[in-house]
Order: sequence, then structure tokens, then C-alpha cells
Amino acid sequence: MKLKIWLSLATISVFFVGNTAFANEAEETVTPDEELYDTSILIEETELALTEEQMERALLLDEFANDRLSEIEATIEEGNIEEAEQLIEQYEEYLERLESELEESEEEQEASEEETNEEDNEVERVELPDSDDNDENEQGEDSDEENQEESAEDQDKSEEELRESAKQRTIILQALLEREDLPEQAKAGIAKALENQKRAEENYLRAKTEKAVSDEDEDEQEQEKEEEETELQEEREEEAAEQVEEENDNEAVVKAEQKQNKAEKKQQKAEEKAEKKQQKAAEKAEKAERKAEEKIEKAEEKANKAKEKAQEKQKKAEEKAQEEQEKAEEKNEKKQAKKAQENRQKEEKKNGKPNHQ
Amino acid sequence: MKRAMMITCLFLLCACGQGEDATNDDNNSGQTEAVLYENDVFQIEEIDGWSVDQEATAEQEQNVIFSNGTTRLIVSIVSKEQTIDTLKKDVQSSFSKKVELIEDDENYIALLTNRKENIRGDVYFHQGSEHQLIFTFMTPEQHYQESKNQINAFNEGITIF
Repeated sequence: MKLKIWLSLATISVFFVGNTAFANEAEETVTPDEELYDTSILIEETELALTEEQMERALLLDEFANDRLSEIEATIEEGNIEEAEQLIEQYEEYLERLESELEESEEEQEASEEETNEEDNEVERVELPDSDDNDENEQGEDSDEENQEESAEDQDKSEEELRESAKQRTIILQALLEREDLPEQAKAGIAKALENQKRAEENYLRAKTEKAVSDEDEDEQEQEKEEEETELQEEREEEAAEQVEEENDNEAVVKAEQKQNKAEKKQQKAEEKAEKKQQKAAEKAEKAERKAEEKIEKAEEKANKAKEKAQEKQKKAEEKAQEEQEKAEEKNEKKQAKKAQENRQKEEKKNGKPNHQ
Repeated sequence: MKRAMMITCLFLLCACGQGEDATNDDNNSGQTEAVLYENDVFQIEEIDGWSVDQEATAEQEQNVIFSNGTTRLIVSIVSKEQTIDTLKKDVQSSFSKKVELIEDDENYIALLTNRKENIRGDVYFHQGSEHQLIFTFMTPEQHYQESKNQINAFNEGITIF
């Protein structure tokens, strides 16, 4: 019994704590009807203007888009549809800015990757085989690689964060679209925002798959380079050994023939390799195209499903409303019939003649 | 002789008076030249490095924007209905989510965002005869030490009506 009381007390307290936390969160924004709203937008824009890194700017814009969406929800709750429509327009602007910021971020990352690759190549060229500074250089390279890995991890985290909040926004927008108390104009605005958001997600997915494919290609190219280098080294070693043998051996003619044979073999091998490479490249390109198409199809399917669901829900709601109306009408009819019967009975009582119809 | 003396004295007095007026005029014209910005609520003296962001200010009714290098300033005119505590909360919540309150005095708060590129906010609250004023200085954390002096210089040039 005591345990039950404790449990119920704990549940009630958790409920209250939850409510206060939510209230605090809700208080933490300046709403459009407040005096400092314009100032708060200016502060947001100034923070954005003072931030240089593209991904950080994208994260800020994402946060501001979320703020605008919660303001849209709040103004709709208040019944201020005109204000909500203005906010929907602003929200779309934020999404467009976010999209372009992400594109620029991708370009910036690619440019920095290219720069680091070029720097690595230059370092490789400059490096001397027996230099004492080699260890130091290697250490420096290691720390550079670590930094690169860290920044890649940060980038992945930020992208994950952006994807997650985009999902949340889609859910909220769909919920808003399903509301029956919204005028058509506001719904059209929300539907447009939803479409823009989906298009942005699709573009983002496409860019990601393309990038993943190009990364794979780069890795394979690097592997092939390394293989070629090791083969070249082996060949050089063989040639050196042969030279030594030649010096010892006088049968130069035989060796020349052997050399020719070897050269032919090498050429054959090189040709085979080139063919294989070409085949691999074609296969990769096909795979990448397939992957991109599949992803787009999936995204479209998802969008269609969401639309169908929304339509079904709307239909169900309409059917329910009809059923309720019919029920209400039936009730009314029944009531009227009852009243008529009662009136008849009263009249009969008054007249003193029972009616056995 | 006395008359002559009297006339000379009067003449001298008049000349001195005119000279004083002229110097006062000079001072006044000097003051008007040295104003960076003024409206019915506040006035800012001209300070090295600071300028008014005319474009951004033109779009606003209650805000005036100033800048000096990487330091930006938003001056907001607010009614007297709101308490300083409410204004402090509103300004804090206007910054991005991860902002921290690092200093809280009677008419001043310092804020710092907790991101990869941090922005420092120095916010001063002033009382005018009919309005309250919020001076929000914003600067990247890495440039804050340089901008400290700029902020202090600006604060010395404020007159509130």
C-alpha cells in the first residue's frame, strides 16, 4: 500500500517537474508579439555575421529555422494567422539560406581536402630518404591526420544534427498541415515549406552519395598508385640485379633477348591492368548511379506515403465528421418522434380517449 | 575726461562680451561636429573607429546599429514597462541556444556563446526620462581583448535624454 502511495507521489512529482522544465524552455524565446522581437532577430543576424565557418553558420541557421517554426506554431495556437503566414515566408527564407550555406560548406571542405592533398604531395617530393628530420616530419603528418580526422568527425556530427532537426521539422510541418482549423492559404504556405524541405533533403542525399563515390574512387586510385610504385621499385631492383649479373656474364646476346621478353611481358601486364581499371571505373559509375537513383526513389516513396497518410487521415476525419452529423441527425429525429408521441399521449389523456394505433 | 573713460570702459566691455560669444559659438559648432549619432532619446559623440550602420539602421524603428571592426553594437529603445530582469532574460534568449551568462551586475550582463566560434556579448542597460536603452556589444571571443577599449571609449561618449 505504502509502495503504491510512493509510486503515485513520484509520478505526480515527475509530471510537475516535467511541466516546469517545459515552461522554462517555452519562456526561453522572444515571441513576435514582444517588444524585443526585432532586437532578438538583429542579435541572431549579428551572431551569424560574426561567424565565419560555413558549417557553424549552417548550424546557426538551422537553430533559427527551428525558432521560427516554434513561433509559427505559437502564433497559430493564438489564432494569429496573418502573423503565422509572414513567419512561414521567413521560415522558407531561412531554409534557402541554410541550403546554400550547406552547399558552400561542402565546397569549402572539398577545397581544403584538395589543398591538404597537394601539400602532402609536395612534402613527399621534398622529403629526403636519409634525412634526420624525417621523424619530425612524420610526427607532424600524424598530427595533421589526427586534426583532419577530428574535423571530419565534427563535420559528421554536425551533419547528423542537421539531419535530425530537419526530420523533426518535417514532422511538425506535417502535423500543422493536418490541422483542420487552418485557412487554405496558410496550408499552402506550409505545404510549400514542406516540399522545399524535402527537396533540400534529396539534394543533400544526392550530394552525399556523389561525395561517397568520389571518396571511394580516390581511395582506390591511391591504392593503385601505391601498387604501381611498389612494382616499379621491384623492377628497378631486378634491373640492378641483372646489371650485376651482366657484368659478370659475357653472354650479352642471350640476356638482351631475355630483356626483350621481359619488356614484352611488362607491356602486356600494363595493358591488362589498364583494361581492368577501365572496367572497374565503369562498374563503379554504374553502381553510383544505381545508388543515387535508389535513394531518390526511396525519398520519393517516403514523400508519397506521407502524402497518402495525410490524405487518408483527412478522409477519415471527414468520414467521422459525417458519421457524427448523421448520428446527430438521427438523434434529433428520434427526439422529435419521441416528443410527437408524448404530445399525442398527452392529447389522448386530455381527451380521455386512448389511441390504439 | 570721465566721459571718455566711461565710453572706453563700455567699449571694452562690449568687445569682451562679443569675444566670449564668439568663443562659445566656436565651442558649440565644435560639439555639433563631434556627434556620431543623435535622436530624441540618446546621443553619441564621435569616437575613433566607430560608425553607424546606415543600411541596417534604416530598416529598423527601435534599433540603431553601430560597428567598429569586428565589434558590432545594437542600441535598442524599449518602453519603461519592462523590468531590467525581464530585459536581461530576453537579451540572453536572443543569443543562440548554447549561450552562458558569465557576469551579472545591476545594469550590465556579459554573455558568451558556447560554440566552435564563440561570440561575446556585453550588454548595458540605461534609463532615460521616457525610455530604457539596451546597448548590446557583440564581438568574436578571439578579438575581445582588442575590442574592450573600443567598448569603453564608446560608453564614455553616450548621452541619454
